[in-house]
Amino acid sequence: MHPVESLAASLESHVQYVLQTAASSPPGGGPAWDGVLAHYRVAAFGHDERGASVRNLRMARGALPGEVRAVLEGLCAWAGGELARMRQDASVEQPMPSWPLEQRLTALVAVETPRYELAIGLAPLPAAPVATAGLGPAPPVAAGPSLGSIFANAQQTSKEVPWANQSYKQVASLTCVHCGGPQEQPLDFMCKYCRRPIAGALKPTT
Amino acid sequence: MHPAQQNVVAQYNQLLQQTGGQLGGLLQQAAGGCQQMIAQNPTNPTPLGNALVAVEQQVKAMRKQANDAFRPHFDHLCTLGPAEPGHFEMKRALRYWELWAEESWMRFENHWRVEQYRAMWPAAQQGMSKPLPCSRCGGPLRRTTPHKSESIGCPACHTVNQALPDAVVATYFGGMPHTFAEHATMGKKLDTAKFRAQWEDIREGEDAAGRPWPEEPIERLKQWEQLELAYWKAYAEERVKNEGGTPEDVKTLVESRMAHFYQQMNVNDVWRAAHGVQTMAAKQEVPKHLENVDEWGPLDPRDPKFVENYWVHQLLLEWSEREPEKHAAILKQLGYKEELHWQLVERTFTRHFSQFMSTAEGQAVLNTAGMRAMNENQKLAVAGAAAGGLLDPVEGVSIAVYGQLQVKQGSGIAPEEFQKMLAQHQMDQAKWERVQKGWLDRMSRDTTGAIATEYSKAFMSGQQGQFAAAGQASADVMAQGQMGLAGPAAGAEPVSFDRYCEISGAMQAWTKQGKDISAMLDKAFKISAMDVSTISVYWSQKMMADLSMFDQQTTLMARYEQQYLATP
Repeated sequence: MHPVESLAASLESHVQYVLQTAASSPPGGGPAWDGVLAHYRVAAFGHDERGASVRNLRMARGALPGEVRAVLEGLCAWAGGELARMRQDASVEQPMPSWPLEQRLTALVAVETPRYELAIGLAPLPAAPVATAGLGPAPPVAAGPSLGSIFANAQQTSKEVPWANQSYKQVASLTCVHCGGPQEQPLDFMCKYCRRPIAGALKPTT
Repeated sequence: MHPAQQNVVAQYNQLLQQTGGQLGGLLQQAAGGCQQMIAQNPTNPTPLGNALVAVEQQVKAMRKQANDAFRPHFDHLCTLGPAEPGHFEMKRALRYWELWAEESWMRFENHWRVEQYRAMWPAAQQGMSKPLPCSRCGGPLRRTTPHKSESIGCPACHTVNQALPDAVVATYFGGMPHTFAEHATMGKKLDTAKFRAQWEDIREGEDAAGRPWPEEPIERLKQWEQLELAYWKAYAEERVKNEGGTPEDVKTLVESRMAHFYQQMNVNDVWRAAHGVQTMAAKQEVPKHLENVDEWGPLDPRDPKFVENYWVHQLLLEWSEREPEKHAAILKQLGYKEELHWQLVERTFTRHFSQFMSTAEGQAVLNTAGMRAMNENQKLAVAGAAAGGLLDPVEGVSIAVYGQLQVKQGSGIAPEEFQKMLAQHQMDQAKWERVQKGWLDRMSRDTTGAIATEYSKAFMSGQQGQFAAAGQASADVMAQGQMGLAGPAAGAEPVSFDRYCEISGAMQAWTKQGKDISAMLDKAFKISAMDVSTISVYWSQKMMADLSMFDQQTTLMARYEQQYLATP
């Protein structure tokens, strides 16, 4: 496995661990979640803020989404740093298959935070009306010919080229048009027997 | 970034993910088809080639989709507040997605082409060891280079036999050297693309942070040069090894491929400064006391064609910026004492005519000047190439004779008939192939297009059959330096404009459908690919002389493409 792929796998296991611990914590977090925050060196919100957030968000369970977000941001920073280090590391095989991981890092916080909120039963934030208008998932690409028909066409029509059934003689020799004598010296186009141009005429080459 | 903006960025990333998924799925599905195609046609690469071209069209459509989606997302981002850093993130995501898409396609295409040549190898090997009897007495001939044409004297009857490579051998060596070289060096090619993308990151990052766009430092430019050199050197060595060539061939190939890089650097101020050359910015400076002095140089402002003449000079000098020696020669030829002299004329013209140039009349003059400059540029290129020996005959064969014989060969003539024709020009098949390679090598080295111009003239005037008059008319326009100024003779019209658009639209449709172009041209229009090139040159020249025809062409071609796509 390429080190980039290992990094991507490691990132995913961290993300899963963070989200699972957060989701299984009591409302506002608990000792396990505090352990996660300490592990990832993220400062916990103050006691009052935690309490207010739990009340206002009517949380029935789970760590605070703001804290989860901060941990995810920290994870992204760590993985991004590792990726940058690998780019400079001569022992890491280049080019690196880094695009999927880069995409994941760019979108991770924005994708995983709302997903976590949904998982703990919080209503998702209303989408910004302007931001989402007209922007949906990738539309299917305008239907072109199907792959099946492409391969069938390629197979069929290549047999229909005008030269399909033509064959050529692999070896031929020049015979004098005047006397019928053969060419006996390469690049000598005057007939050895009748001393006339073997192909009937000599034309300029420049 | 505002959460709503984060949302937009996330949506765009998601769209890229999904489009990437679609692309991956397409290639995965197509892989099965390619495998089957090779199994059915192990010695004929044409079906696979046609299918790959069609699959590539679909890949391009997906890439276009990712690119087209950028703008609406960006517009939404802007309506939600300051566009940075969201814009930077989206641009970066798209850039790396594009790199990934490009790499995926390149690796896919090359993989299957390599597989095709691997499947062909046993038959090629067999073809090379096949015994070859003398065409006169049947005695055995001994081949030394069975992958090339050669003249072999029969040990029994002394007749000279012109031996061609076996069909499969010729096909194998026609494509394998490039395909395998590409396979061996693809990583190096992609390294350069990634290196360039990293610089874009840095540059756009600075821009996103509100700082001015930085100039790429010389260290990076030199690194870029080394990457390009490493790639082209590796590619050339591999390719020449595969086709059997000399170290000189490697050197020539590398030089020709690096020419583009160095031309780019010739207008890069950082590179120029590092190499002790005056920067472009400094070159355009005019001393304070001359800033408002009128200077017309070799041009006469009373000449009714003055504005047109000025633009011809302007364009010729601008187009040659990347080649300093050529630029200096053109400057002298046009009658300027030095660069400063031209700069003064340029400023004088701008002072007096910038308003006129914004009128429709000014634009019309500019269009005519553009066409004239193009013809002049071609003439200069041909003269330069001739002076530099690029147009000297190859093994005694001129570009004109080479072009005319190419027409004959492409007309479907039997090899033994073609060999008789070659004999009249004192060539055997082996020499003809060396001449062919010699001219092709020179064409690929020639960055001015001079050889291609001369070749086109010979090729068009050598046309025979139903479109000979059109070919000759087009060659006349080129020879008279009238491209874009006067169309070829109307009486020589090969097919109507509507028919030309129909043929072009049909070809686009067939490309997307995986259909073989030569087969379909013959079936639908009873013409060959060579006829299409004659027809296209004729109508391109007409369109250049009447630019309004381009719009008509686009509309008609799109309509015909749809019509032909409707036929499965």
